[in-house]
Amino acid sequence: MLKLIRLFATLFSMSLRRQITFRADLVFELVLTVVGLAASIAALGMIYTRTDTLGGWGPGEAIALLGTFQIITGLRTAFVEPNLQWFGKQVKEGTFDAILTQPAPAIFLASLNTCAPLALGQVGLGAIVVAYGVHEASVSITPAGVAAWLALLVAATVIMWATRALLAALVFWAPELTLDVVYDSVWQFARYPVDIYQRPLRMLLTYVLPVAFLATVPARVLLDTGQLVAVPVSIGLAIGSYLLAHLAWQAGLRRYTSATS
Amino acid sequence: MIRMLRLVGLSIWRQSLSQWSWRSFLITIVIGQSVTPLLGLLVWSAALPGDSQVSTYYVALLAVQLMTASYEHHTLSNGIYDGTLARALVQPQPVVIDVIGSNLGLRIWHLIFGLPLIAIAAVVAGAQIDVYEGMLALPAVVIAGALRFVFTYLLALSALWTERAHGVVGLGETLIFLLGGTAAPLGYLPEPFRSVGQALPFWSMLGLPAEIAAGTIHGAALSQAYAVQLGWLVVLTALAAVIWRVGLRRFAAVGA
Repeated sequence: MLKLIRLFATLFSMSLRRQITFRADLVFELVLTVVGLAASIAALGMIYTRTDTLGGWGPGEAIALLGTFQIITGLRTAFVEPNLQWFGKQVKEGTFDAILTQPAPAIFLASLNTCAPLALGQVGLGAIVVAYGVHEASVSITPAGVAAWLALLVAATVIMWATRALLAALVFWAPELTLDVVYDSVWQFARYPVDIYQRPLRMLLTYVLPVAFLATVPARVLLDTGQLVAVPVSIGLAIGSYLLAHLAWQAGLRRYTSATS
Repeated sequence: MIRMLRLVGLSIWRQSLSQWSWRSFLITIVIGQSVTPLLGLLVWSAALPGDSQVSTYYVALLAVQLMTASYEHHTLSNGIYDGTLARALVQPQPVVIDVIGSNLGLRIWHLIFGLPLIAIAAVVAGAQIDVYEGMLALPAVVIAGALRFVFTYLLALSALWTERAHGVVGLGETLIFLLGGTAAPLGYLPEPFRSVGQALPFWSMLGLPAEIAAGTIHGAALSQAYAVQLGWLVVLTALAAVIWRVGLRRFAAVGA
């Protein structure tokens, strides 16, 4: 375990050094993040000019949820997407062999090999947005609420990583299927409270696809500490999805036969 | 002119056939394109329950989004990055013909694969599109499609100067999302946001045809909106032509 952490710390510092070599890109990335986030907040603001609550969420609360979504999205863009985006290509072309020959579990190497540290700016901005949303909602935040929110963020990160790895593992069974764009599309549903969706869709996004646990549940617990029961549920779900991803990769790797030219 | 049209027609035929070969991926990008209008539909239906006009608008917007989808950062910018533009440059036809052909081919597939989605959304949301108003919106859809293509093409040309053309196009798409009528129907915004939004080119690319189809624009406002749309098309096309000429001098293909 310690060896893995040391390994990823080294990989992180290498990626960071690689990224800050290109200063213009750094500035551009920051502009993109700020504009994207400002657009999301403005979109929320437009809705609240016509209504006071959205599925029971006030404007400040919805902004805190959006910030939470931004944090998880930033973590995904920084650590997971640079590796698993278009992962199927590696398997189809056989470059995946290189990962298998290295002395660490393939699932970790394949999903966390490189990263895009600049995207962590999204995480920082997300945190600022959460603080602003909490301020706007004028609810009092308890230390227990913040602790629960942090725990739920960790759980959401694990769920994000595990579901993404699970989807990537699909290539071992169905090489023609590339569902990266579909994952992105479903992901977007997390930017609003799941309470706004009609019942069948809400059920789907809570019990079948764990979209609700990415942002809605953490934000709800932060704003209303009465909902602490969500913490063990979310952690259980995170462990469950981790195990599922692990098993899928083990089974998938057994099927992997490499590609020949 | 006739020769150009024939070349475009041939290019659409060739490109759409080759696009058919990766149809399963095509379906996923159709889903990707549909997500923002569908989210808009869900969120605004939750904000204004029982408002059938807003659901009609968003169903129309979904159709317009699929019919105006543009991917020039993939077709043109990637061609600049990997040097395949060099091959297109020596062919006895303008480079833009194949870019248009692949754009229209993709839009045809988007509409075909998207039709079931549009139909389901229309039934579930209870959208009521009047046939007459739908017909009235058709010219606006065509101009919007041209405008969005020219806009994306213009941004994709930034590949001749920078490595970040995908980010530049992404920025443009964020603006279309925010000011083009996806984040909110412009008619539901307070002044002065509404007038400013209607004068900017983004609404002409996406929201305007949907508003016409939903029957929220009539009479003088309609002809004014058409004038704004055509005006932007002329301006952006001229700009794209100039940028192409200037940028092409910088182009140097990679490889032997």
